Amino acid sequence: MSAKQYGMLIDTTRCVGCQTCVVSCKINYQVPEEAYWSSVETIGSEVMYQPTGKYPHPVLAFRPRLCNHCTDPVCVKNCPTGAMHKDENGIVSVSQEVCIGCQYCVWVCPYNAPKLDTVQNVMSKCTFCQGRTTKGEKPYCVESCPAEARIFGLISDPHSEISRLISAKHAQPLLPHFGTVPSVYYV
Amino acid sequence: MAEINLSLIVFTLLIGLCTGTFIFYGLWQFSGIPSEETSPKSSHRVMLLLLIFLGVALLASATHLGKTFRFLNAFRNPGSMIAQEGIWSIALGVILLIAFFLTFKGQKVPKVLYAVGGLVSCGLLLVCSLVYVRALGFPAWSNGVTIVYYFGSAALLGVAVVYALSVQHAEKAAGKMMASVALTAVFVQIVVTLAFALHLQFGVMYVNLPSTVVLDILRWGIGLLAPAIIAYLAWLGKIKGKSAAWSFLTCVIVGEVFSRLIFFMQGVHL
Repeated sequence: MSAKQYGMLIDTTRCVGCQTCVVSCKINYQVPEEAYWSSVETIGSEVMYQPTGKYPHPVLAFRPRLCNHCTDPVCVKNCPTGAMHKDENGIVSVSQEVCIGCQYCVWVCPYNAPKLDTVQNVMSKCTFCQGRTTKGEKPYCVESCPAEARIFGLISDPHSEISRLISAKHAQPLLPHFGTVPSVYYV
Repeated sequence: MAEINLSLIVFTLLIGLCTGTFIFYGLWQFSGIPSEETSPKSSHRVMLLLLIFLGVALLASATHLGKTFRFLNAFRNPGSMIAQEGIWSIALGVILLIAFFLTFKGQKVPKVLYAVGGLVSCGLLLVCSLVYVRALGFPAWSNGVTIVYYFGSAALLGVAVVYALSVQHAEKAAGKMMASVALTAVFVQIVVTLAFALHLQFGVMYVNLPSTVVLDILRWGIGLLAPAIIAYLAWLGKIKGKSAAWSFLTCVIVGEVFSRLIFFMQGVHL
């Protein structure tokens, strides 16, 4: 594990599925064409905004998805070029000038996080807003969330707010059985 | 669904043809059935054919890259199975080139070269299958059955090519023996196909796989049942050697194309 590891806690009980996080990410990074570094899915349904469960107990809940910036990322291990790499702050990044666009990182990633930049024909992905977070600012998706469903911080610091909340709320990562040790936790 | 990528279908089919043929052609030479007269001539053509298969396969593989001309970057991380595919392909290419030049000079390919080439072919097949086994995002592929699927397919393709080659050179002892080998290879592939179908039915979780009924019928009819019937009739002596071998090869290749179409259609991401 990197000495420093940024992570995110997402409270699905707060998320209203408005997709402001998706739009703010797309606009601010000019993510090209059909690629989205961030998305929102309806929990338990393949159709967006389709409730699950039966009357009188229907459920409509949302789960924002993004790169999990795993501690043991399979995309980094399996990238043939070494373009996919882990930075000192634990953020998984892609060097577009090295990437060959084979898309194997998409195949191996259980979270479907890397996206093909169809303009450059190389991979692109969520950067945890590295340019902002290194200056102490919040990522765009966190900043723009009207429901304040996301908390960003250092999960490698056991005394940080995010670490305390992960522990207190018994937050769990998505698909932990793949052993990639994700850094995004969900309540 | 994963993109049905023509270049990956061509790549996997030609790698299966190339490795399977090399392995079974080597075994065919070990068997001692090919005569001293036909063996060097046949070997020269086979090695050229396999070099072409491998070359086209690698070109097809390179064309699916977003940045084709950066393909040399693909060797930077040898731990990646994509890089391993390239490394093992080059190793097999070198062996095929040596065999080609030896036969060009009228010499026989030494048995040790067939043995080493056979091992390298198995290595290449293994890393090609591990590319899919390691694809955690695609539950239909990320399973040990994929390794068996790759080897079963290459074996059937290889046997089919060697069957056609053996009758081409009118090897008297070949017909009946090769028909029984072909029948065995089809039987093995039927077991592998059933195993893969069971895996798709009961072993894949978290995703809904698309129905491939029409393709399955075509795959089973043309790629498995028809070759089995042809090989059986040839074994009984009810079909002539050449027509049996060539129709067997055609059916097997068409069937393996359908098999790959089905395989890639099952590539549904988590």
